[in-house]
Amino acid sequence: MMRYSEISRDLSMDNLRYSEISRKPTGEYVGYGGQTFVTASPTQTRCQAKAASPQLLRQSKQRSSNGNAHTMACLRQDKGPKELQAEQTQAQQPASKTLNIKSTRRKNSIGCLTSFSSSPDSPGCYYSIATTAAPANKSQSLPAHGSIKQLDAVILSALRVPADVLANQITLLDFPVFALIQPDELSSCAWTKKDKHVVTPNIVAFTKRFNHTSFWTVQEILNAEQPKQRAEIMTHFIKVAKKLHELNNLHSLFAIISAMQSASIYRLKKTWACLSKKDRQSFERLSDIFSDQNNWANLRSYLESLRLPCIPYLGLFLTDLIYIDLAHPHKGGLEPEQRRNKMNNILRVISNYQQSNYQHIQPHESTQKYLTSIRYIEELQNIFEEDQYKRSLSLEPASPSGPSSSSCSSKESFNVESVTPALGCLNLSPAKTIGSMRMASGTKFVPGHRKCRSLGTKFRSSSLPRNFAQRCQCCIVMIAPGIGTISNKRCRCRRIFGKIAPNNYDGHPHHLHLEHDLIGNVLPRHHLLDDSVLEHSDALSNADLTSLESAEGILCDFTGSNCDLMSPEAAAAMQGCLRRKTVQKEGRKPAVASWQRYWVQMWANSLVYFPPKSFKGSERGDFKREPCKVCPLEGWNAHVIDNTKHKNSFELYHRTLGTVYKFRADSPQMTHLWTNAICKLATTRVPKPLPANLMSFE
Amino acid sequence: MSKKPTAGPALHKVIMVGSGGVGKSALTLQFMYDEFVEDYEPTKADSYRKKVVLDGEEVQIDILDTAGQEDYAAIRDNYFRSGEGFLCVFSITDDESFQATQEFREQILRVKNDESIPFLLVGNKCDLNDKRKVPLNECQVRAQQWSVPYVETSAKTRENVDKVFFDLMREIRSRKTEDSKATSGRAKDRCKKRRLKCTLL
Repeated sequence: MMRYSEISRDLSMDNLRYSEISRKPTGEYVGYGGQTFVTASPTQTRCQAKAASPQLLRQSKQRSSNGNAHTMACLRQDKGPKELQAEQTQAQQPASKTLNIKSTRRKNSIGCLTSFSSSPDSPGCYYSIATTAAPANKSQSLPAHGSIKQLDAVILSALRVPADVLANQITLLDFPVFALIQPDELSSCAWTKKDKHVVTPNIVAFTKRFNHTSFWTVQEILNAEQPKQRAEIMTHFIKVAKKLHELNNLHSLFAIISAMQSASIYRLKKTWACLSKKDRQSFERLSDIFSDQNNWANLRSYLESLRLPCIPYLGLFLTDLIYIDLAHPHKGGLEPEQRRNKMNNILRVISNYQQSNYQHIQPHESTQKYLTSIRYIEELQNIFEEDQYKRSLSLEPASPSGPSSSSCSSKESFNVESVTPALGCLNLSPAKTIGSMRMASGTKFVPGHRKCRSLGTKFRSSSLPRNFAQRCQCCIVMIAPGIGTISNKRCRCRRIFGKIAPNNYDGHPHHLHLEHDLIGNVLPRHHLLDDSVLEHSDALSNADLTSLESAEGILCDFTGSNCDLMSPEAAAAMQGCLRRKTVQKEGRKPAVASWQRYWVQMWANSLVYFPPKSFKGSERGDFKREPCKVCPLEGWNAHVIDNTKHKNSFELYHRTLGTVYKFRADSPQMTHLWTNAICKLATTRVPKPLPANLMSFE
Repeated sequence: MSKKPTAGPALHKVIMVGSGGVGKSALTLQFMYDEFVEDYEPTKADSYRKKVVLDGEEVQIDILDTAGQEDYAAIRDNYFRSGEGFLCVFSITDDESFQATQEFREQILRVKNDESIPFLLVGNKCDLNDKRKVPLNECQVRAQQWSVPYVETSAKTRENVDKVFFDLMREIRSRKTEDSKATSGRAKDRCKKRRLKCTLL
């Protein structure tokens, strides 16, 4: 145990070592899933460009800490000195780039799930342009194992802590939360209602601990690459479970059992096969306790047989209470006797458990620190689960008739049509007219979307589905108030997509003249007919990845002269699917930073975010109608990240607040349009200090 | 995996899913106890099991409803796995609960790995039609997309309560007979590969 805490002090040393590792050239990375463009070299180039060696060190430090961040919620607090943290925020960006290398690499091995990652999972991947280039989406928030593994060996692994110590410390953390639960909370039956955080805060906290433990277990198991390693971690957790069983901590015992039975773990046949028979049997014996057969008869009788101390699985009682409340409603006046008796029975039982005493267990600070440093955000549960499932699929791919296909296709079939009803309800939108447009394209989109997606990867060889450009246009939906601007924007879209699908635009001359420029490299081209300056469309006509990369490399700050390419009206009507990650908030690095998918819409001079309805999809219909955040753009600015790895990303930063978000669009075009639009809107207004940045999860 | 009863009437295991407060438990209680709610005892082993006559045949229904445990997200996968049929309930007065059905559906399909698992989309609280937030056609469209029936119920007025449970049991039953035909009587767990099996045979 001493070792455990010592190790954290060695962190910086290890980072040094790690920086060495990650600087090893290309060869090490190539072939890891066959992705050649994902190599260490861009990082290296970048490092060299930055030249100074202290910076290099900084980057590497950052990289590792970012590696932490990418364990999704499993983020450990930085154990290094404060100053290190400050440096980290500075060097944030390059670090995430390097991370991306790893995640892209991993993604590739997942096959379709990942290579189309940006929007492709839904039929609505309108602008699936350059999806190949677009590395990725939120699944990035999964551990980028390359780096994680390095670190895991040092501080991050549950394997480093003996099973009984883990079980003891988990119990020590569980019990105070459980003991705080008040009888009033239980009898209110309000823990599933909207005001649960106010009325039943302790029940909510206790439930969260359950999900937290479960999440951590799944994450730890999935962190390992090989079935054998995973089996080893599972064995470790079975040991923890056994110990929890000895401690009568049924709460966390069930959490760990549930984790092993979750979709992500349960399906890992190879891993389960590596477990010893004895461990499998222990697991089955333990999971039998929590069988839902016969109204949880096993659990009920087991609970009765126990003596204190004990932390019960509260959920069982919660269901019972809900049913009692329903069967014997309290309609004002005197409480019905039956209700009171039955409720009191349960309350008594629970309060008896709350008398438990676990003081014989010695607290172990570093283990507790480790356990509490695993960040888990309940609101993101679904996203975490989806990420873990993807990770699970990538570790042990499903058979052709596997689960992914079934759930995928159902989702697709849903998305396709669900767009329709959801469309009319863009409440915040000044652009309701676009509904019909998108709807039309949505339906048109149906039959070929899968293929389109797969074609999308090859699209640089210009094999495109027929209605591709139309989709593109629809997705860039930029409807401005005036008719004039609409046509203006259409031109823009056509200019961008004209080249790839020239036959699609009937009656518009511009499509013939799309040009490919590298921004900042070549003088603006002029339209042959009206002599207007043509939009840059880097990368679009690039035939291969390498040239695309170089194009991306040259892309730089858009805040300058390029800004005026877009009219304010056009900018004010941008909307589309974006992924966002918090890089820094009010000068501080967030505890958890994962990519979040939003439908983002410019409205007046604000960015309006709509949260996703489901895991996938980049169509309007895949997002909720109600916005979850509104962020006024005053004081904000955006620039394209000149990042060779992390394509299509741009940064939104506040000039004074020290808040930085990173966004990813699905194509370089979208990135530029967004950056453009934001700059336009942000600069047309005088920045005021301290704008309200209303951030909240629903 | 759920166990096939060895003796006695066939047992159909139904799982109630849906957000908190949509009336899952009210539907269950209505179906199980009707007006005899006084007999209800939450902790009894057979509290959620009932013998019913389904098209002249006696069967047992076992309802698993984890009302109150909705926030224990981690346990869902496992109890979904044991289900043979699902009633996916939302409240027509709460759009959020309707949106949540999408996630439940996905999760169930992922766990069951079976697109045609017996499944009903149930819009509860149809007695509160004046407070309706989810348009009827939106519900129907969604059910259509999933190729599942859509039924509106009211646990309060008992409208369609029996119907949803019986409809679901019929689906489960026909599914089971199909399966046993396809796999020559046993191998219950092969239901996933049913179609594949057929072509092989």
